[in-house]
Amino acid sequence: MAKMVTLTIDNQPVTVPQGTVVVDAAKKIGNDIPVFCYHPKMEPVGMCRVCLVEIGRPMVDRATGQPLMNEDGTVKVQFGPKLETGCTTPVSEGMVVHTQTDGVTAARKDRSTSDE
Amino acid sequence: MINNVETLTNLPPIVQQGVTWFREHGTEKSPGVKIFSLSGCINNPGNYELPLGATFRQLIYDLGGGIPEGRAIKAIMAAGASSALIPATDAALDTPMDYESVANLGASLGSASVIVLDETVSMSWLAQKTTHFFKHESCGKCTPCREGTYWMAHILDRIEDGQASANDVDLLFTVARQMQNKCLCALGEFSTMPVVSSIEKFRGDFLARVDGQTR
Repeated sequence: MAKMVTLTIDNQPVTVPQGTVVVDAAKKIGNDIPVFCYHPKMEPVGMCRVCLVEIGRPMVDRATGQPLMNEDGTVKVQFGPKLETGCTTPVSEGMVVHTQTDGVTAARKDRSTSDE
Repeated sequence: MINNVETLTNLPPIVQQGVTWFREHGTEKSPGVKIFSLSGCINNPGNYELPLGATFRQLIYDLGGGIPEGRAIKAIMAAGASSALIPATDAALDTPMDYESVANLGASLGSASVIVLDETVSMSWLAQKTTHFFKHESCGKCTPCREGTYWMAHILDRIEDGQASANDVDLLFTVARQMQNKCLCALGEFSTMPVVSSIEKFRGDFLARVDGQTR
């Protein structure tokens, strides 16, 4: 039995086996991150960039290895500067995924036809 | 670990003369020396090894001999074809060439391949040249870079041929912005830098080409 990993996708917790990619974890809770070049029977390649989402990971104190906490007692989460492909990124413990923020929808949308 | 030639050339003097000696050169946060590759509209192009923190003016005028025929400088690309344009104001020319100071100008020092652009250079022409380079170099694997460089090149060709309208300049800007932060590797990201920065800082050069105006 593979080790299980718990993460949060759009505020909804989900537990999946280690090695699962983010789009498959999202699908398990009915959250369809759009994909184009991804097929479950093929190696993910992350070419088409349709599945770009915001991914944050818990921050860890490098000296002690302990998780860093916010003042309200929740774990500090650090988001990367760029969007990440949900089809190539494996889940990790405590990961936080946002699939519906303004940044994600704007990245997906054809902005040349909007006011932006 | 991957090292380029420039990194390796720094090693013998560091081993021979020590870290303290090396850190005496350059600035607090960008210590050491850098090989500045100077090209473009310049009297003495070449590679110049300088301490980090030397100013653009020292490189371009003291060492590079200034611009041919005494023409005025218009802009600087500090990191080769992938740089954001720095309008060559007096303040920009007196900026120390270290990583932090150049970043404050909204550009990056990167490879320190300094390209000098004088007043005769049209920035839409420049964007066309760099975009065709990146379109050719794009491996085509990820969509934003493959399609983005292709369409940027098409729009820029239209602009340079006098076949475009002012809307095409906005469209070009939108395409470039839409590529940013979505590409698989840095090549696609870099291809947008000259396009976005030239429209932001020299929009007039593009508008001078639209609606049937040619050179």
